Amino acid sequence: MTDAVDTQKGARVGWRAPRFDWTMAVFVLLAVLLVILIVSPLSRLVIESFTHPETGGFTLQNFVDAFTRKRYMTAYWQTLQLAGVTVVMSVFMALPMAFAVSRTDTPGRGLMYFAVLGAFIVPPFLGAIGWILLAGPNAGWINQIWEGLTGSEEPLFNIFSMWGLAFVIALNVFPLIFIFATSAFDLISSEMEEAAAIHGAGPMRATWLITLPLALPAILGASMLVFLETIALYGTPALIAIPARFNVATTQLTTFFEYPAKIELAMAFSVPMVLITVVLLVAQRMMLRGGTVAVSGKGGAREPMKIGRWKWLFLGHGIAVALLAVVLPSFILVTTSFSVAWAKPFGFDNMTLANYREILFEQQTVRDALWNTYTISLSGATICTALGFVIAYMVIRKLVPMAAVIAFLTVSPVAVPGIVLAICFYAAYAGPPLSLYGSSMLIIIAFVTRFLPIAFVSCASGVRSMNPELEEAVRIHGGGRFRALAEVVAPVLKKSLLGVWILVFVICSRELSTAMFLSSYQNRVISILTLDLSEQGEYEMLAAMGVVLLVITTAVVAVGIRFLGRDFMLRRN
Amino acid sequence: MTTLQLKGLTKAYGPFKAVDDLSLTLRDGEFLSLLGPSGCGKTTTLRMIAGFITPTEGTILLDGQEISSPSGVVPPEKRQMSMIFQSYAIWPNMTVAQNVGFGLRMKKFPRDEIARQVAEVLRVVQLDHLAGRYPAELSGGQQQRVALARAVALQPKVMLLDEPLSNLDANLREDMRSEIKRMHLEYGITTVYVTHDQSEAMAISDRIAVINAGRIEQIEAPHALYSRPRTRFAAEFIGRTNLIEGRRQAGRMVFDGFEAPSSGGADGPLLASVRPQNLRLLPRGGTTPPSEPDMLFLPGKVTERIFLGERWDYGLTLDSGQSLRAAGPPEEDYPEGSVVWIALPTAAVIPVEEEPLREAAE
Repeated sequence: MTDAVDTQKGARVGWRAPRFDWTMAVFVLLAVLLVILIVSPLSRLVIESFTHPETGGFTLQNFVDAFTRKRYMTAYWQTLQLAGVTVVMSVFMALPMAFAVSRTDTPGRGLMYFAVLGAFIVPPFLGAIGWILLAGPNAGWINQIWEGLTGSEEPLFNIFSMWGLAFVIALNVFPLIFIFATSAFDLISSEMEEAAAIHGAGPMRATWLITLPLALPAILGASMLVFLETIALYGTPALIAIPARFNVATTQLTTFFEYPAKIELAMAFSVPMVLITVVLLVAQRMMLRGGTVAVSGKGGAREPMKIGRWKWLFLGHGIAVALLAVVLPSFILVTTSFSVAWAKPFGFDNMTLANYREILFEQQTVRDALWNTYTISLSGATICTALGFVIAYMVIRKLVPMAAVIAFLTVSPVAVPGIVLAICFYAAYAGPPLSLYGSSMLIIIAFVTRFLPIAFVSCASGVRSMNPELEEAVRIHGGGRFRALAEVVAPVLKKSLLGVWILVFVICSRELSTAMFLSSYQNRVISILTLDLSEQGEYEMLAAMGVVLLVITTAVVAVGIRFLGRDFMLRRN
Repeated sequence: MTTLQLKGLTKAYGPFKAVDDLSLTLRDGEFLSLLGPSGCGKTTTLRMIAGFITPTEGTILLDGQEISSPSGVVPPEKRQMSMIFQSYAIWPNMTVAQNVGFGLRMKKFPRDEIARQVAEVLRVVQLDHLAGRYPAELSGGQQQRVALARAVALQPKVMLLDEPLSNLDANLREDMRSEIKRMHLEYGITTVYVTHDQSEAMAISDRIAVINAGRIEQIEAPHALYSRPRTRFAAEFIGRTNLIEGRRQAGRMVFDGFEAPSSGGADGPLLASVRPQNLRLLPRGGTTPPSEPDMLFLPGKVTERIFLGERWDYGLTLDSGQSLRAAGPPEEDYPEGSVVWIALPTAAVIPVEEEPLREAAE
């Protein structure tokens, strides 16, 4: 009631004193941040690749050097082959599962979902270590058992090969295809299939003629993402391709950093990777746009298809994928972490807690790496979420000038593979004047840049889903914009913000390629240490460290599922 | 010749009966609407006819052959029916011609025969010029006509429509309604039409089955349904009505302030329906009512009125205290507070039951 009195007095009505325009200040701040995080490092890609290493003048020589050596071209060619094989393998793993989970009455659909989530959570380098232990040519468990059973001298399965590498990568990236395919299947109203049924098509033909074609754009789009993910991946190839003595683009890139570092050449070599990424991302967007039009349709509850005994086939496939992607690698990691010597049979005399004592209490390097990983992930996730939210809010509500430019800049790091981004940051900030090399700060800002697109896109969809009238209602009732943000927008979006935070935290804690070139012995993270330990053959300690990482990650994700529902990690955006 | 028979059809979800002992018979070429509020079981009934849902009790017979029973159903694709869905379910990955020809393709017709029949049906729905287009390029109205063409192309024994007009705006709705009616006249396909919109059902059907809580309240031709509702629900759901409580006594219906002859029935409490359209207002000067055979003149007063354009909607109170609503032509203007005679033909007082009688279904 006091408000009414105020109004009568006219104390505030018509008050129009000139005010400080805070939107300009925010805009300037944002602009500076985006320059530091994105423009300055990414522009290095163009600048350095055209710079002569000695004279510093303009030159095309770097490109000539990068694309006339047969060895370099072979690396690219093998990368493309690898990515192609990986895509085929992951479609084979993901598509039947997605169909079973989304459209059928196959038993165990919930468990299949968790298997996919599990595969998504396992960091790629740990999956690779698991499979090295399982299917290494000499001491791998599967091969030992095979040779014991058959007396054969030949290993059943050699993980150190192109096929082995593709297989291990596919086991890690197939969730992407699963996510896109299930969300497409989920969007197809079952009336589409029922219409086919009532017009004379049995379930098989309805699936073949209607359901699969409708989901095809999403599946193709996801396949492109898998392709991109594979060509940009460094950890798994470093663990498998290097011992197998073949090169892919990312492993080739690291050789440019052997003394003397040839940054300009590395940059020139990276340019095609960025171009492929840009082209495929654009193509993927276009596909999905077509796809959304295609699967729109209102009404119609969805009912799972009754598929009779086919469901056992789908169930079997799901179990097989779950075993290969999650159960076997985690099992071998856990047993190894408790072993004295991993290649020896598991038994009481081979059992020990020494590995955990070692990493948690004795080895300074491992403890430092664990500490670094989690401080970096915590800061990275927090900064990323906060920044992503602020930018998304400013851009969606058009509170700052040039909103479209800001949005574009914010998502542009998507087009740059992590390892290339690492080189960009190295070039921009490692040396003078800032000389950040070896400080955790450098890794944090690189991670923020790398994952800002994810945070921004998620926050933007949250903000977009909020009716602006909610904020206008705050303001017409006397609250300012900050009050609207603090008391309405943030509380309404708190779940999606928490979801973004957890997602970024988890991917920060396992990010490897962006940390390459940026970490020195002072600021190593777990992922980098994995490579070193693997090189030294310290698999028992490595496994113990991996188990600690997995336990923490799983706990964080479990908290997320508890508060946000099980879908929050596997959402498509 | 097609006959479709539903016998004692029941679908229970746990203790809840979505459809409860429902029986009806469709004649060859008949257009029957299942009309009722949402959740009354009409869509469940339709989906049982289509074979998407297995009944928990009862059977469905097509031309005397059992196609659904609790022990099993002929799958939808083998029923020789067609359906228009609420969302139309036009397959966006196929052209108009491919959509329309789908059923024929499933029946393994030769390709040129499919092409010929598709062209023929598309000509009837006036879409022949769009045969090669994809659904995303079509307007809403054109999409419906594709759905309609697809449903009739097969020359199905029974065509099922699941609220096909509910997603449309008003003028498209009328176009589509007359299109459906036209196709029905053209092809004479036995049709079951589900809707919650009574005027839609009125305009299009040979007979309407009013469904409430999984049971048929009344099944009748539209005009008969409107003028002689048999249950409270049917009277209230179809159009607007006044429900008046009274008694049946010695062959007469007795209400507060008036009575009317009754066509029979046991003595006891009684509910009657009087449509507002059957009431007329006359100015009241004196105390002697005008006299006319089979007409009642009741003294009353206008307590409120709303002008609705094509008519006045009056709220009246009889001197006996009973309130009634009446519709009056726009040119007869009785302001609030006017004292009037309310003219009511005795034949317009229709006794209705509280609950449907079991045998009402057949």
